[in-house]
Amino acid sequence: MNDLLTRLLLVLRKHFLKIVLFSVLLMGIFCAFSYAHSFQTASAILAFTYPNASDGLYPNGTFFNAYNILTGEIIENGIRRAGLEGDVNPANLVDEISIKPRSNASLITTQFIVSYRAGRADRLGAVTPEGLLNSIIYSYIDHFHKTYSNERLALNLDLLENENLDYIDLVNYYNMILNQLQKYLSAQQVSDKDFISADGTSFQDLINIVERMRLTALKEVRAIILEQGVSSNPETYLERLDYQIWKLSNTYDNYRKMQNLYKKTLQDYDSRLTSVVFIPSLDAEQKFYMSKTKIGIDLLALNATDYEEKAENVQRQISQKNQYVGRINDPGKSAQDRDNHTSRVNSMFSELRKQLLEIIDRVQQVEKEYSKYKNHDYVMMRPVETSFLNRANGKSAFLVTVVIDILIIAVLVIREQRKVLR
Amino acid sequence: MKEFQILRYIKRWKVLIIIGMVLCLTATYWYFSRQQYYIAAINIEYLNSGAPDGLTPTGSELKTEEIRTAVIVSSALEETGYDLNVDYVRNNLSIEGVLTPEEENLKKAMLEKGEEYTVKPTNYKVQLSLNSSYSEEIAQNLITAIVNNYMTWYGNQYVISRKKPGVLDAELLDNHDYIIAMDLISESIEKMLQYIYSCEETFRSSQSGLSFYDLQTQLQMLRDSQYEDVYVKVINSGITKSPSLLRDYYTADITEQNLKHSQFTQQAAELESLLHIYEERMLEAQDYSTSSKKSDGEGPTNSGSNSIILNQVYDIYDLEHNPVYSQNNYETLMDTYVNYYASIYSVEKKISEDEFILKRFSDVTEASDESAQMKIRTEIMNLIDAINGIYADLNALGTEYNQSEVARNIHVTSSSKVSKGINIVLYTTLSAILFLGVGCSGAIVLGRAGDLMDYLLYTDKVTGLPSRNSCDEMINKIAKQGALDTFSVVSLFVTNLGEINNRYGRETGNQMLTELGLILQTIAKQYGFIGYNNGNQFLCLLEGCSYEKAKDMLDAIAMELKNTQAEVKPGLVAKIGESHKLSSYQISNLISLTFKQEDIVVYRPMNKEREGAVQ
Repeated sequence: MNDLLTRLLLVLRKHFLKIVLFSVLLMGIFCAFSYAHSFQTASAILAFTYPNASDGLYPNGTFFNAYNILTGEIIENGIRRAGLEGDVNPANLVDEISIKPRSNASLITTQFIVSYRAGRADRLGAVTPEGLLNSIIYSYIDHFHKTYSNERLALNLDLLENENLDYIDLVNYYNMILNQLQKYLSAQQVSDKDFISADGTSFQDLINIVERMRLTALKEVRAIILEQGVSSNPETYLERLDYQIWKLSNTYDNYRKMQNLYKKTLQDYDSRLTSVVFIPSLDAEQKFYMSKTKIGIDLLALNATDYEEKAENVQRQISQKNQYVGRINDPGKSAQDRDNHTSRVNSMFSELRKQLLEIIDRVQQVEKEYSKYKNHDYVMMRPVETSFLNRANGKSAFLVTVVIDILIIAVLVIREQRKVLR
Repeated sequence: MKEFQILRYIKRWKVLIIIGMVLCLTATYWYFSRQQYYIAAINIEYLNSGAPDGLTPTGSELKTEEIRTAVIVSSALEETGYDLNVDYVRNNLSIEGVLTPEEENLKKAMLEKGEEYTVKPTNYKVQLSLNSSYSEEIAQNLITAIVNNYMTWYGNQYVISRKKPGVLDAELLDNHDYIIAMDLISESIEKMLQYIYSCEETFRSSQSGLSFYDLQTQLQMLRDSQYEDVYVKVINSGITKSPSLLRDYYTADITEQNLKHSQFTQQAAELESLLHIYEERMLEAQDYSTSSKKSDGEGPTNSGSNSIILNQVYDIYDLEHNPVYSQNNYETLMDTYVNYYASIYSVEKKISEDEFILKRFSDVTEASDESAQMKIRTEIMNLIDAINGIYADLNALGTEYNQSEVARNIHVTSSSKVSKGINIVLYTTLSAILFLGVGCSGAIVLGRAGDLMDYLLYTDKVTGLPSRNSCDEMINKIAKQGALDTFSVVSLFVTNLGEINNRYGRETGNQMLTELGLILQTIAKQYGFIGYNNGNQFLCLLEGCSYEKAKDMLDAIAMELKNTQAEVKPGLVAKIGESHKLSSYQISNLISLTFKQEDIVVYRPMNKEREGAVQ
């Protein structure tokens, strides 16, 4: 062994300079090749950080699929964004881009490495593979934000300008829009109770504004319409009211019949045939109480009450409509009075319209701010580090050089040994 | 025999071992590369309440094998665009239930108690293995696509129970009169509303931004304003394509509704009478089934008996989480009775509506004029467009809602992972180590066997020196090398061996030769080959050895013999032949000439008989 070591040291001493020079040259060639080649490939990390991501779902709760990045629309948008339309075939790009989970962990991966290796057919020109990959990823992020990251408010305001709507329909329409706004804002508030916009508006503030408009301004205009019998087209609307009252009466009769049916059945119910059982139970606070089984008579009684409520509600609507009919037909009202009331209602509606548009505008402003705040971290793109060493593949170059050096030294040692033997 | 030196054997076979190892490495790598397979796996979990009992949300048996169905696999292949055989993928797809640590412990505990463990796993591992013709990426993409397709399929099959309403046919007006078309539109609006009521009001589409509530209020608004407006216009203006046909249609409908009314009334009356009988009989039955009577013997002691026990005491819920009231048979009958009357009232309402329309159209004798028809037609078309616009939004929202609902019943618990079936680096390294071990062992065994053969063939057993065969081989070898340079041949002759054999026996003679052999082995290391050439003669073939050096060797032998403590010592004479001195440069000639040289006394024992005794 000593002999071998001595021979090795002798070889090293004899060829040291040559070996070092050769190693440097080899490493240089390898690094230069890798460095040049690295410009044909690009990688980036795509990280999904929204709450549902770790459950394998999109923000809206549907199944997540990272490979959607390779859909035609996204690739085409990416190519367009990079200004390479016609130079790069989207179909080729689908094969040249690979998506791999960043880790092989046992849980759901939320980070992916997207890599692109430029093919021979890709005419990138001045655009680097990195530039093209980034364009594709950004177009995916855009698509993602557009599709998933924000619960946008969608209001149908078409009827706001519709002059065919009679005043009371217009009130109902405003009411509908305000209700939709309120529901939307309530949902936003539940999802983020602490959010306050730059001007200090919270979702609750907006809810209050919407509610105030509904309960004051809208209620006022409605009251004037009903009390003063204001209608944009009284003749036609009276026909509608007539039909509505008939229809409601029909419904009322039906509800009353149903209520009576349940009452009669409840009365006919022979209590000896079903016993009420009390069961020892625990309530939500883990306190002991006696729970009663729900049986047929409970259901019958509840249904009777339900139909009673429904019937009364319909009756109230009938009375309201009859009252409105009476007001429209009121012979005591002069044409002048009617015109005055109509112009008042018109001006109130124009004020309401202004208010509503202002509220919508404010909601949209806050929403925009909230969206920016909420979606900031939904999905992020980070390029994979591209330092010189990374590009030149320094580690591999070093390892390859070491292996080749070892082989060369071994050959030299064997040669020396043979010489000695000879 | 030569010493047992492991390194010597390995050194001798090292080239072969290295070549063999490289070949073995290459072969192993090539073989395992061809045998390589990629395993991609995804874990899924069923979240519905019946999953631990092995049931789907609809209550049917959960069959995880459905993941392997051709329809799912082929859809996944189509989606990914990979050209793989469907059956190949299906055969290589496996689904395995995975118990959580808690479930494992519970199972163990129950089995230890001797109880049967009936809880089915809710977590499953879906695994796909593909051979070396494919890649890790293909395996990963394909398993993801298969599981995604399966989840969509599973959702449609078992999770989504509600049906979406259909779109309004634009040709509605071509086939029906206006008021009938309006009725059909109303029916469609109600179906859409019913669908919306069955969904989660606050669910909002992330694509359109619309919620079910938004669509519900839009539809209600449309029904209460635009629809109603058109409807009233149709009935108040009596717009019709054919009044007689319209009257016939509603008259026929009233007749049909009346028939239904009679049927339901009859059924309700029958049921009412049945209920009276049932009540009496049930109470009588209770009298008998009750174990004790009142003290006066009349009537039951209480109303409790098996016959009146509810089917289910605790609160139960249907698949859509609505409370289900507990019922016994009596209550079921009562319920049916109520339903009959509800149907009767519904029919009455319909008759009233039909009569209302008939009344409105009673005075109309001719089809409405073209302009009025065109006007109402346009308004109805606008209405249909508006409803279909809402329908399109509802359809997209419903699809998104269904997807999210499916995700609440089944979900992926781990991303697709891919591993290589064979660790080629490990196997290659192991095979290299194995071959190195086998190669080295083989070299040792062969080397040692060679030593043994050499010993048997080429070693003289008495002296321990190379035998005559070995001497011959050596001579041949030197002869092959050609002309000699400085070379000495020394022939040593034991003079007293016969005498010692005769006097002390052969054993003593042999022992003397053995001792001489040991001395010559030591000397040979310094000077060259020394072998026993039989006939009491030793042959020394000394390459690069001059005559003087050969003489030195003889002196050294003499010195050794002198210093040795042996009882019997050999008398030794020698002949030296040196190539230059004898001008002979062929080994055979040199040997022949050597034997013709004069004897040189190397060592003469002081006492011929017993050297030790004399001293």
